[in-house]
Amino acid sequence: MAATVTIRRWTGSSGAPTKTNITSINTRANAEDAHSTAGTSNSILIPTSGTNYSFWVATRLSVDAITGGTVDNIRWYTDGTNSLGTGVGLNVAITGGSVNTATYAQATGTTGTSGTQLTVANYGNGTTDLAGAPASAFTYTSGSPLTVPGSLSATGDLGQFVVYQITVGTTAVSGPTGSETLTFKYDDTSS
Amino acid sequence: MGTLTWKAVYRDGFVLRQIDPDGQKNVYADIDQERLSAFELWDGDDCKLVMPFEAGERLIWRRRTAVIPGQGDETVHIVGRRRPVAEFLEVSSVACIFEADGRIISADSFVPEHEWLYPPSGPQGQEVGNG
Repeated sequence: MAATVTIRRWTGSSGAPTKTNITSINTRANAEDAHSTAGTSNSILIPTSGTNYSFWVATRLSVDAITGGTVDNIRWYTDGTNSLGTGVGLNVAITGGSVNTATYAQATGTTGTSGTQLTVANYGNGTTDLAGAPASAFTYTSGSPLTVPGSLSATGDLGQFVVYQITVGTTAVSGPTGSETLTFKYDDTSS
Repeated sequence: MGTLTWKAVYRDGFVLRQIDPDGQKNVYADIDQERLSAFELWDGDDCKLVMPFEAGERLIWRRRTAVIPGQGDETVHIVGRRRPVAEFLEVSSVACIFEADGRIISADSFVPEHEWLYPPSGPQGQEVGNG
């Protein structure tokens, strides 16, 4: 049958990360390095000037079971419409370098206030661990998706990380933002 | 509809099933493309798609899945045919069938901008390591 492929959100230290299976649930991007489906204790503060950020969210596919064949041709996309609300955005980037050594960098920032901005300079080694500067996630749609390098014919972590981050501007409104659906798509030739 | 499984029908009448009656599984790479006369997708006892093959033509098959957190999966099967043109193999037909409702979308070739009918990995949609 089909390979079992799950979406994992990585949190915690790079030496011993927690890889939460978020395939069938939602996950919140708050001002904390933790997964939750409804947590509000460490929300992102609305700035008086400039921009605040969620802690970045590192997601990656995992092949949990496979019989023969390969999982590859990974894509990631949104519906193309920002439903998060006024003054709120969503940026995304993928990790760079070899997919076999894709770098997980623990999200940092000031818990309960703002995460560190996701940039090439702020992620991992500061040069090549992020493939390029983050862009608005809403530029990636099913017809024009983010292509995620990666291929695997065994169980294990698959492909590059998709790392995203909520941005909050001064015009944002207090309270939970709207939700967004972030879709992974992949090919599978297993039996 | 349920989960679709494939059968590869050879010119001599032999049928290679993705899952044999005894439960033994065969994989895509096991298909002898030189002998292939038809590739079929079945939902239990119901045949949902048949793609015939002539000598020299090559099969493209893969399961393509969209994972939408909190909303479940959507899976299609991509079935295509490549035929020899000069020294190359050119896609001459491709279809996708949805496991959820049996809907089929077909085209003469892959459609890079299409939500489902985009090419597999590899240059010009060529299979990598298969056929």
